[in-house]
Amino acid sequence: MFKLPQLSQTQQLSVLSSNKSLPTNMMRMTALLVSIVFGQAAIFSQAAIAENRVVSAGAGITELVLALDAGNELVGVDSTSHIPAALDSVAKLGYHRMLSAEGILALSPSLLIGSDAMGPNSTLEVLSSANVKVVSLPSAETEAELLSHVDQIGELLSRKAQAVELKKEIVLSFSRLNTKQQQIAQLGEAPKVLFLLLQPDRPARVGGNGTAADIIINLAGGQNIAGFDGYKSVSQEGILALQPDVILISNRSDAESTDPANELLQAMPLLKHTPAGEQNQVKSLPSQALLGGLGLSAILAADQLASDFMTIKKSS
Amino acid sequence: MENQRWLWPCLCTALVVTSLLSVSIGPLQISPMTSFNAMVNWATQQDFASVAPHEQLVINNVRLPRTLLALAVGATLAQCGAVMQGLFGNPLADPGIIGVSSGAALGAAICIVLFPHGGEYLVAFSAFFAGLLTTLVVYRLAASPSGTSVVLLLLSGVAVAALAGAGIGVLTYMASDMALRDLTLWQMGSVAGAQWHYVILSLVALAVISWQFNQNAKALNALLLGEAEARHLGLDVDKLKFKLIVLCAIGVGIAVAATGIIGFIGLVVPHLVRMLIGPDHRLLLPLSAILGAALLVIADIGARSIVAPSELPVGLVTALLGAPFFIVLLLKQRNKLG
Repeated sequence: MFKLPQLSQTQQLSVLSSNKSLPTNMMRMTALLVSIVFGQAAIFSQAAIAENRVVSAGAGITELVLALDAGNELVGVDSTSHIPAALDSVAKLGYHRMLSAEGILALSPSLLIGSDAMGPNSTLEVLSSANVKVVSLPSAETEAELLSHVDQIGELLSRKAQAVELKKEIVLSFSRLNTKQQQIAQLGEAPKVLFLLLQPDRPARVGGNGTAADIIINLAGGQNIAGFDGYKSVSQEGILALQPDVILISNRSDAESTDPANELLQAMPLLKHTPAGEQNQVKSLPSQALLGGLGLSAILAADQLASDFMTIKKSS
Repeated sequence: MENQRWLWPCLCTALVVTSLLSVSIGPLQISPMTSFNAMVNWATQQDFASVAPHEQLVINNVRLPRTLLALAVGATLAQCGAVMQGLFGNPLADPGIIGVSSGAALGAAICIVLFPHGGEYLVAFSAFFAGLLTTLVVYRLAASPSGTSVVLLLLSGVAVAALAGAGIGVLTYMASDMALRDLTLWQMGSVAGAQWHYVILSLVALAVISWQFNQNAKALNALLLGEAEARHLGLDVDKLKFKLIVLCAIGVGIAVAATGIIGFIGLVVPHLVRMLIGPDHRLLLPLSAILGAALLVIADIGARSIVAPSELPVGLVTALLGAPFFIVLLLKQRNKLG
């Protein structure tokens, strides 16, 4: 296991006490992500002198680089990547579609890894001719693709042992998700889920087919009832007509709200009359889970959601 | 005029200095001496002075093309702005008034949203041809058997721009998140991804339109008297209008295709030059070109330095610099008049 030793006792305990009903594996996965997100100054300062200087352009890729214990080799990340506060010396390179060739070269990197969306091509060409290894990995959509990304990044960063561990962990979490999906299916019709992307003072945008939220909903064994592709604005009335059992929300603003469900129902009182509003089934998705396709945080979010679905189905 | 004597050398020096600065400044630290050596190496295509390969690469493939592209595009936009202001007799005219920018934006939006895998060349081609086509539509709308009136041209330009804006709105609504972001960034303009073939194309376009505009500088001066008066002086006003509009559409179309939409250079620069030397187009056009080029190069230095190692779109920088500057100009003029 990567990272777990770095987790403090209190963090582990809090994970334990708040998730008593969850299986131990789920807890370990949570612990892994907690440790990724909440800094690991200790492990990075202990690390040997970096051999690679890595630039990562893509939220999912950065997540994997961190999970493979190679955060100390990062010198730059794009604006979608989320890195622990302890790594604040890592340069921010802006949007991954308009990377600056010179800005990246100034970091003297040895490797640039990113999604297939990174660009522009002129930048990538300049970097390649300056002997920077440029690797683009299309955003993962299936378990096999995610595992192959772990392999490739593990290979590139000489983290083969960690890659093997991480792959085990991913396979395990997928099999857990499968079990939960089957259990949910046995309990009758899959819960009807709607994902709302909230922006202050704007109509809510609903995540349709092919969005990151859609992937998470399906993984968790729910059905996305949006019925269109991409993100579209939908009025409160439209949401009411769809009668969702569960409403998932994600907030664009950085400020973490303490009670997002309550705030949503106050801002959009009509939603109290949906099954989700009546049963108080408004769940918050971490924004990180929505970036970079199928990644570690997306799996974690899906696992949490699947447990919620099971509770709902059992109680109804 | 007295001050013309120093204006030429001053502006030319400013242009050379800003260009040299543009080649020496960037997120990657390269000393001015090394930059100069690298430029000599590039110009002669030989290894006169030893420069580290990665530094030579940055100069050759990043800084030189973007500096030259900024020069060409800045000069093109400023001249087209001056010509449009002269032709329309309207101080608010900018190169976009004949619909070329809005048409180009629509063309680019169609490619970015509907053909997301078409690549950047498709976007550039589509922007250029849509810009040209839109200009021709505007011209046709304004044409009547008795010639084209300037007022009609202006209004049909506004109407077609509104239509293109609506089209972009629809595409924006349909766009996926990534296409939306690409579209927004494209509309802010950037010379960061400058490639040599765009540079060469823009320089050729600049040479052609500068030569042609200069041939017509006297005619533009006559037009300042008014359209009827120019006609009485024996000028074929309609032919002149069509020629200048097509030249502007080609110049601005190529500029927009290469960099996206860069505002304010075409609007502000001609006004500035007019304040310095008056409205004579024989001087106004070349001086606008030089000042426009210098200003866009300066804005681009800002674009790559302010938030290094990431970059601002240069159109954002020109708008941020240009708009307040324009307001100050307006206030000064108001005090003079009032």
